[in-house]
Amino acid sequence: MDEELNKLIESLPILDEGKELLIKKFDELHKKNVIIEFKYNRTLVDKAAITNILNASITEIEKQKQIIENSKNKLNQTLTEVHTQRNLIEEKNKELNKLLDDLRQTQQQLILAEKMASLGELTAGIAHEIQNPLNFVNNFSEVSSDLLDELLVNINSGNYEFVEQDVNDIKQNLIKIAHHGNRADSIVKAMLQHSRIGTGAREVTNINKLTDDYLKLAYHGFRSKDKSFNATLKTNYDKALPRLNIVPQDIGRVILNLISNAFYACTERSMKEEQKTTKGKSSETPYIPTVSVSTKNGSGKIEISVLDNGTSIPNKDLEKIFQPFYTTKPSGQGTGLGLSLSYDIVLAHGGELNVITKEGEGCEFIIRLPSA
Amino acid sequence: MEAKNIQGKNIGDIKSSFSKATEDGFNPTLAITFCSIMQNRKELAHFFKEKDIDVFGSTTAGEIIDSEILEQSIVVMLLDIKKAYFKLFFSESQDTYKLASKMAHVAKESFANPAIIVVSSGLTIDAEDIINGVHEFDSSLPLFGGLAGDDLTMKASYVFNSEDETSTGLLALILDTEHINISGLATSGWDNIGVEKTITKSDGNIVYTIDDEPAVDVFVKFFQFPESVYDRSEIIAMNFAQYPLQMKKENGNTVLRAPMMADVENRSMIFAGGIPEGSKVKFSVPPGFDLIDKTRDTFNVLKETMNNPDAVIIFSCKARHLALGPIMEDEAVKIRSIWNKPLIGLFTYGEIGTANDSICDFHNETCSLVLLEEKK
Repeated sequence: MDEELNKLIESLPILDEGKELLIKKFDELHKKNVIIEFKYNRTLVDKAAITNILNASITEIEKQKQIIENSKNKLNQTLTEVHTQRNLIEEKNKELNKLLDDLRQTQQQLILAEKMASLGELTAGIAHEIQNPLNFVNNFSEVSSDLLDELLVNINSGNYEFVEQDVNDIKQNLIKIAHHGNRADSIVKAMLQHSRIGTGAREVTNINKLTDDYLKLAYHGFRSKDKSFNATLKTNYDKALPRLNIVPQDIGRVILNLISNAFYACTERSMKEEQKTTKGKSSETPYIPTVSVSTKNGSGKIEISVLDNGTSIPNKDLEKIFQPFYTTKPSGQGTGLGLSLSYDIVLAHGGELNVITKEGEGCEFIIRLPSA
Repeated sequence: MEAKNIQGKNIGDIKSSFSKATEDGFNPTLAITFCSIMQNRKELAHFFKEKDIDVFGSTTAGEIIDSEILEQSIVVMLLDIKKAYFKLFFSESQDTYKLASKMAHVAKESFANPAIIVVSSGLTIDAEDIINGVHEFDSSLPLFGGLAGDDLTMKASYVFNSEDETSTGLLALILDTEHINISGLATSGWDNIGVEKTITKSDGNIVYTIDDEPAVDVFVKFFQFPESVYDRSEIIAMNFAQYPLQMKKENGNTVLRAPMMADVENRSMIFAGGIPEGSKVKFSVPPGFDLIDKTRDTFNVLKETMNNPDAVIIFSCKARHLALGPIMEDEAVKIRSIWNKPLIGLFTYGEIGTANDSICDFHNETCSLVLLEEKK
């Protein structure tokens, strides 16, 4: 309590009780005043603090808002870019799909081309094969015609003892003509069958015969294209080979393809050897192109082997030879589908197609077909 | 169990008050003693020791006794609790965590179902370690208490029993809850304000940067504090303590962390509790002047668990005193009126207690209340 106020109350001309009451009241008021003063001051301080905190918060929020705004803009920009990219990708996708379609078409065409190519090879061989029986037919027809003339002369001159002889000879000739006619017929049928690859049904087939037929077709086919071609053919067929239920024209085509390849490899090697000879580098023993075809009855498997001593396949290329469109032939000469299709055909028969190559010595392709 | 409160401006007052209190044959065994660092604690302890009375003592930043708020005084609650029902733990160490763990061990060894009321000295300790040390041992152990004060001189606080005192240690009153019921609650009333900020560098209870800005600079900027007083830490405490940071802890509790001191060298701030690096915090402002009614209403709920306690102990944050000033006395009046039982308390630098809808934690800016009742 204020000293001055105290003195003032003491000096008042009132009773002591009154003074006491007054002092008490003043005390109470003073206390209240202190509280109000405190509240006022704290309110001021708090107000300043709250204002500062809120102002700082507003600044912070503004800053964050700006950051968000910037991010939003960036995001929108990115979104537009993404949209553009997506459109581009879609366009590319369309192009790629079209390319894929084109590719598929081309592939189909290539497969057809390969079929035609192998048919071409066949045709040449077949022509040669048909030529033989035709020669027979022609020759025997001529001989028979002569014999008929002779027969007429003998009948007219009453030389009956020769008539029977002549008739028998003519009959023999006709049998031979019929035989060779049938042979030509079966060759034509085989050719027709070949042109229907992939649609053929399985038949119980003599593998040795099939192999030998296609070896001949391949040889004559190759010779028709390259008159100078010559090779030693070695065959070794296992007589104990069981008949197999296969699509003969398909397996035949594989054999044809492998043998043709073997011939091609031999030709290539011949050319290289010749070049060496002209350069005076020839080896002591002359090069004799040799293709060996053999069959073998393995355990549960039939093996058909085509071995050549031509230009071998480099080991690094072994992985690729069964891939479609892989070829070592000059452009335009091969489709690159031969081995690939062969591989697929053998696989479809539950078999396998393997290759063994020795650089500089040649290579061997082996078809293994399940015998059961 | 009977409780009698005595108070005084000095040891002489206490001696005479004690004689009066024991005139009727009242025979206390424990003296809960809260006093200013100015008071002669040794003499006080010696006085009670002579009478075979155990002392649970702490220095303060102001004393509370019944409906009165005192300063630079001594307040004592005398209890005639059976010596078998309680045990005092006193230990000194820089390693608060180990100390707390040891305290929990001793409590469990003493009684099957103990409860702990703890006071801790040390101005820069991370009081979170007290909670962690106890909870690591037994998370269900009831724990209450506070950090000793030193009249805001920010030099050293003390806890003491009848034999010893320490400026870096714990003093615990371990109670046997088979015989003594204990219940408590902590309440704050502070409101957060403004945007969330991130503690970008901290170590225990030392905060170096807030949003990459030196902590002291942030406070000075926000609360317009003249830079000339940077080196006067006690002024920092007096002016900033009522603007604590509100922090959401990993355990889900929301706690307040009051700034206590500034380090001029590295512009860091020391808080009355740990704030881990990466914590999200908001500033808080003191509640309105209706706080004291809210406090009374909050504590009133405790009547349902304990209607007739023998004694009421209050650990109230010094920052509340600073924020409420002369109205603080009204709060004491209102709290005391709930049970009308002897009430003793002190203004602390941090409180340990359980707030509504949370688990026991270390707080700032709260009033943490403890009720004791002997089982009949």
